[in-house]
Amino acid sequence: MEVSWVELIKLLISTGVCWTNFVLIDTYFGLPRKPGVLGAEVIGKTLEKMGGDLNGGYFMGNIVCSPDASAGTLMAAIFYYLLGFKGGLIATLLVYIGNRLCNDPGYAGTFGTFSATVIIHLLSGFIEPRYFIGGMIMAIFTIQGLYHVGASKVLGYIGRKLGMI
Amino acid sequence: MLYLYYILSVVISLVVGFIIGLPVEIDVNSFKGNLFFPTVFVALGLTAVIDILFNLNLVFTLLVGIFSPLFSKYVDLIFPGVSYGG
Repeated sequence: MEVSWVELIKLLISTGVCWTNFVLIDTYFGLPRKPGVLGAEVIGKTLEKMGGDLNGGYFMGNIVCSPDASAGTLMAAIFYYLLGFKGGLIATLLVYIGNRLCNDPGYAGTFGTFSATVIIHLLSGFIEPRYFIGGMIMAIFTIQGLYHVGASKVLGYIGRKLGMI
Repeated sequence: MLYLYYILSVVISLVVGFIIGLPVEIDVNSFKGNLFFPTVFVALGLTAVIDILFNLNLVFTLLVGIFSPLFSKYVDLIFPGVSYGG
């Protein structure tokens, strides 16, 4: 199967959009500041021991332990793909309930899902919603899959730059 | 013109929320609901669910508009948070 350049560029743009959306919203709502549950603290401390950043580690731990803007962006992309803008609104409600079940006030996930829905809707003329599903998977892979120590340093740096730590 | 029902459900939920005395200030670290969060998102989400499952009309819009602020008022009892790491 050959991959066209247009598809690849669309995927890369949607990756950038998703990455920016979830990192900025999660940072703004204080994910790097403190661990929400015990698991997030363990991940943060372990990453610090491995030579990473403690606050970036808390950020990554909080992503694992609760559906924040990262899961919200993915949910928004899938629901928008299936049901359109209405689907994004349903995803917002479901992510909010998921947040509350995970001992999280729910601001990061809910606003992340809603903003992702609005962004996907605005860009849907140029980039189809299916690219955002792939784009978000690529974006979360750069944080949670590729190189954890480096990712925690980048997230800690962004948190400090935005003055949220 | 279907989106008018979405706007109407949000407006009704805000008015009802104001009447039942939800706090206007937004506290990002609090588990209690306020006038805007999660009222607006619950209203929009429930309206979308009804839009897909049934058809939107004034009765459903009114019901969502009344339910959302009540949910928001008692959200810390429905989904209580535990204080940890603060």
